[in-house]
Formats: sequence, C-alpha cells, structure tokens
Amino acid sequence: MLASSKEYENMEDTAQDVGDLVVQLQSVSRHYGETVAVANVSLDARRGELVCLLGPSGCGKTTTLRMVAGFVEPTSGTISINSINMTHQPPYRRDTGMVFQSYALFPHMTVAENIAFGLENLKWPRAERESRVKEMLKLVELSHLAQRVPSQLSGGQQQRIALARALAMRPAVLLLDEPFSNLDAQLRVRMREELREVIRGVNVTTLFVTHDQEEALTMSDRIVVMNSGQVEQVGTPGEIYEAPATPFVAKFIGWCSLLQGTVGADGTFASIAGLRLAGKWGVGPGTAVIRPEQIKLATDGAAGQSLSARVVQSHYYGAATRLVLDVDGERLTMQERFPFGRHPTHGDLLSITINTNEIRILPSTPAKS
Amino acid sequence: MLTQYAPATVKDRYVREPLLRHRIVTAALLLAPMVLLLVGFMVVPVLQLLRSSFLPSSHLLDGTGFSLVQYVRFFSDPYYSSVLLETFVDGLIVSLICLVLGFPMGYSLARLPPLARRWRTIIVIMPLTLSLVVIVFGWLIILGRNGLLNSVLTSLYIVSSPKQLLFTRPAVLVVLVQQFLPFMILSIMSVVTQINPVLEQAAANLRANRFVTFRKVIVPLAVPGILVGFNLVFVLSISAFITPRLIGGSRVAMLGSLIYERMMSELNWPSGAAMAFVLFVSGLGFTAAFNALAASRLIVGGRRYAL
Repeated sequence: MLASSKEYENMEDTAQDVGDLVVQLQSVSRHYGETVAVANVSLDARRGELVCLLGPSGCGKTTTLRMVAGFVEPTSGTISINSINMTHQPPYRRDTGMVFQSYALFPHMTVAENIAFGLENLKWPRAERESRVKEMLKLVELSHLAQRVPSQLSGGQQQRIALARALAMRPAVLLLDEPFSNLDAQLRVRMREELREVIRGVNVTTLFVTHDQEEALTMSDRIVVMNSGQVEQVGTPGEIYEAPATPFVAKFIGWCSLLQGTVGADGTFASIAGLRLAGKWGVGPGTAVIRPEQIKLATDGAAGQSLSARVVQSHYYGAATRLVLDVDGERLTMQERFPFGRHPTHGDLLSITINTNEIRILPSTPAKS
Repeated sequence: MLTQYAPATVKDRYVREPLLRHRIVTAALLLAPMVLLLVGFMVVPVLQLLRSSFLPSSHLLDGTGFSLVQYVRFFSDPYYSSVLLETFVDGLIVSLICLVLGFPMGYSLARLPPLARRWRTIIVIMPLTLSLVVIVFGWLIILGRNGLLNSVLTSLYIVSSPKQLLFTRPAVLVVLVQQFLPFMILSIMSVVTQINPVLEQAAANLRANRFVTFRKVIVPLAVPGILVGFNLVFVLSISAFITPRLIGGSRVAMLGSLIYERMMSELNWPSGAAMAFVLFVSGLGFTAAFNALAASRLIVGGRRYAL
C-alpha cells in the first residue's frame, strides 16, 4: 500500500494529471461529546498542490489535519488518500509525512537516525536508506549536522530536520501543523520561503495548518478558511483576499473595515452611521468591505469627492503608518506612508478619498438560527 | 588568593563573595538535620557493626582483638556461598517480574490525565502504607495448607488434596514481587510522564506500529526509570528478611533471614555482621556492575553526543 521508491518515481511521472486527487475529505465531522470540533468539512488536494487550512485557534483546522494523519478518528465522513479509503486506518498505514508543531524529533537518536527511522520501518535496504538520508540532508542543507542529536540544534535546524524526516519516506501527502509558530519573527519569514522552495522542488502534495494569514497568502495554492468547525471559503489566495465570501473571511484575511448598511435604489451604499459611498451595487442590506489600500489621502484636484476624517488611532510601522479614522461616525482603517516628522496624531483632521470601484458589498444573509 | 592578581575579578569578589558565602551557610543549615541524623543513627552503628565483624569470638560484648575468622568461615563453607548466589538470583527474578508487570502499569498511569492518575496512584501506593508483618500474615492466610488458595483449588477440583504452598521458593518470590512492585511502577511512571506523547505520534506517522514504537522510542527513553526501578527492587529483595523467614521458613534460605537468625536467635553478632557486610559489598558491586553494563549497552547514543 505504501509507495516504494520506484513506484513513487512513476507516480511523479503522472503528476501533471489535472484533477488527480491525492487527499479527499467528504463531509467529515468530529464531535467531542456535545462539542463539535469539525462540522461537515469537505476538501481535497490535487497532486503537487499546497493547500492551507486557515482559521483562528479552535476553528477545527488542527483537528482536521490530525484526522488526515489518523490521530483523530472522524465521527462521520470519509477520508481518502490516493483514492483509498483511510478513514479507519491507523496512522502507520497512511501514506502521510507530518511535521509537528514541536517538531517531535526523537531526542535519543542522531539527526541521521531520525531521518532514517521511517525508512527502516518501511523496510528499505540499508544502502538505499543511507543514500536517501544523505539526499534529504543535502535538500535541507544540513549535511554537516548528520551526527548531532536534536538538543544540539537550533529551532530552525530542528524544523528542517523534521521536514527532511517527513519527506524521506516520499509520502503521498505532507502535513504541516503550524510549522512556524515556534520560530521568531525574522526566522519565520526566511523559513517560510525556504520551506516553500523545498516543497516546490520535490513537488509533494501538502496540507498545512496556520492561523497566520500572511503565511497562508504567501505559501498556498489554495486556502481553506475555517471558522467554528466549518469551511467558510475555499479559493486561491487572490480570491480569498479580493473576493471574500463572508464578512468573517474579509475580516480574517488582511486588515479591513466592515460597514453594516444598505444599498439604495440608486446603487449607493449608506452605512448605519450615515457614511455614503457612491457606486452601482445590488439593492439590499449588506456589509461593505473596505481595505486600507482603498483609502487614500485626497489630492488637491479631487476636492469634490473627498471626505473629512478625524484620526482616532495612529500606529507607526516604519514603512507605513496605520491610521484608524472616524469618517461620518464609522471607523475606517487606512495605511499610508507619511514624510518624516509629519505623522498624524490623535485628533488630527485629514481629507481622504475612497476608491469605491474596488469595494465589495457582501449581501446580508438571513441570520442563522 | 589567586584572584588578587587578576584585576578583572577584584570588583567581582565584592559583589559575588558575600552572596556565595551566604549560599554555603544556607545550604549547610538546610543539610545539617539530615546529616546529623544519618551520622548518629546510621554511619556510626554501621561502623560499629563493621568493627564487630572483625572480632574473633562469637560474642559482641566482651569481644576484643582483630581477626578475619568470621569472613574465612563464611567463604570456606560452600553453604553460605550458595545462599548468597541464591539470594542474588532471587533478587534478579523478582526485579525482572516487577519490570514486566510494572512497565505496562506505570506506562498507562503516566498517560492518564492527572486527576484520573491521582486515584490510581494512591491505590498503587496503598500496600506500602501497611506494615510488612500484616501483609505477610495476610499471605500466610492465603497460602496456608487450609488457606484460601488451597480451598479454592480443591473445591474447583483442580487439585485433589491441599498442596504445600507455604515454605516454598515460588511463594517467597510472589510475596516479594507483591511488596516491591509499587517501586517499579512509580519509577516507570515518573520517567514516562517525561516522554512527550507527541513522539509516539511521530513514530506512528513514520510507519512504526505500536510494538516498534515501544521498542525503538519508548523503551530507550524510559531506560533511566527502568534502571532506578530495577535497582530499587533488587536491593530491597536481596536485603529482605521478614518475608523469606515467615513465608520461606527454614526451607528457603535467603541471606537476609540467615543474618537475622544468626544475630537474633544465636546472638552471634560478629558472624552476623560479617555476613551483613558480605551482602552489602557484593550487592553494591553487583548493582554498580549492572548499571555500568546497562549504561554502556542502552544509552550509548545519548552519551556519545552528550558533550
């Protein structure tokens, strides 16, 4: 059932087949007593695709990943890997390679022994095992650490070894559980780029879990946004950011201001507090999603469309300043670079324009009961 | 003194030394009660016992002089050597049985949530709170000729007539296992709680079934606890005297009960003391050798890279 090295090469040859589903979850649910951790989740990953499960903590994304790995059994639904039903198979019969949040390297084994562990259990011959370990160490550029033990490695090195260990077995699917959460901010960005490069290089189907929207946007082919155990939206990073399906998705991906209001017969949106945005939206109640980059400081020529805004909060980020503005009683967030020494502070009055062409209004759905 | 010539440390001395002195005084004060207790009631009597083992006569009070006669007598009689060997073999058997029985128990306790673990741990410790004599008398009732076990076996027609259960070696071993099992369970439990369960998941993800995970991940990481438990049970077993005396009687000789006989019945303290020291030194030597062997065999990897 598990791919030997030869079979794996053949599988790679057919990797270009579109619609080749490696991982498939069909209406998978997991209940813990009365609590529903994962409710009716369906998702799939095609060969070579990098799919991200994104959501706040407690949204069920990690439980979903652990169900794919086999550590948690679904209450209902089916999980298939390479079109074989794996729902009730133990973890060690599943063709997955997992990188744990804490890396979970075996402390009593050397780096090389850690990487060889899966290959031994797959009964690879010694010579193939050794060359594979060398190959993996080269892939993560840590060949010089082969004889160290995990406690002698830095966090970033441990993570790369955990990745090498998971990939050594040539799993059908690579699973990453919050792989960057234990690294400091700078290392995180670097490891993110490295990891993506490695994954692209070996072209392995990957499911990864994160609560960091930036990680999700930069790394994924497709993002599955989850909230309270349910899938809110599935789409490419562009679709998720530019065309959020629900206010939750809009709010969770990137900064944005959500305004409740109604679109009148003339296509103009009027918020509850009284902010009016001219446009051609469909009539009815809805929520306007305004991204910071859609708000600009008014230039002298655009006096007619400009709005008056009072600064409520000002956060300096170096490359830009993020302002929370009070515009006609609504709170809007904008981001702008101001010349040195001219940062607006609390109470300042600014003149702004809003690019209404790019603003989406999400029609209100009837409240769920 | 040397620091006088090192300019960089002059300033440090004023900062560090009062603190250091304070720390040493505090440590000494904290250690004093236990050290006094041990010296007064253990080190001194043991040294006195050591002295008496070199007395030529069989009497303690009027004994004078210095002689190796007690030791010569012990080693020249093959009976004593065979009892010593027997005692060690029994100790090993008891430790091994305790390990086999105690590992699953200690492991499963360690993997329980803390609240569920607490009650079960209390149940494990409970037998230790009972007096050993009470426990042994309990076993006498169970194992006696007309005891519980024999009457159950005869009433079920498994045996036709009551069997001799008491005063046999297996009976002694069973009772010793029952007494010392908690030490093994607690040692294993405490080391397994230190093993992150995520390592077992990692092993499962790396295609290791439960048996391989146990052999390649759990056992190597549990070695320190296994050694502690094994040593505890072994030392307690070879030095036991109440159990072999009451359950084994005169037919099962273990060195502990022999020493007791010699000192309490025959009042031959010098001879008993010599036997006690033979047991003490050989037991110490055996456990040290065993640990060295286990360490070189089992934790080579950890040692090799410990630097």
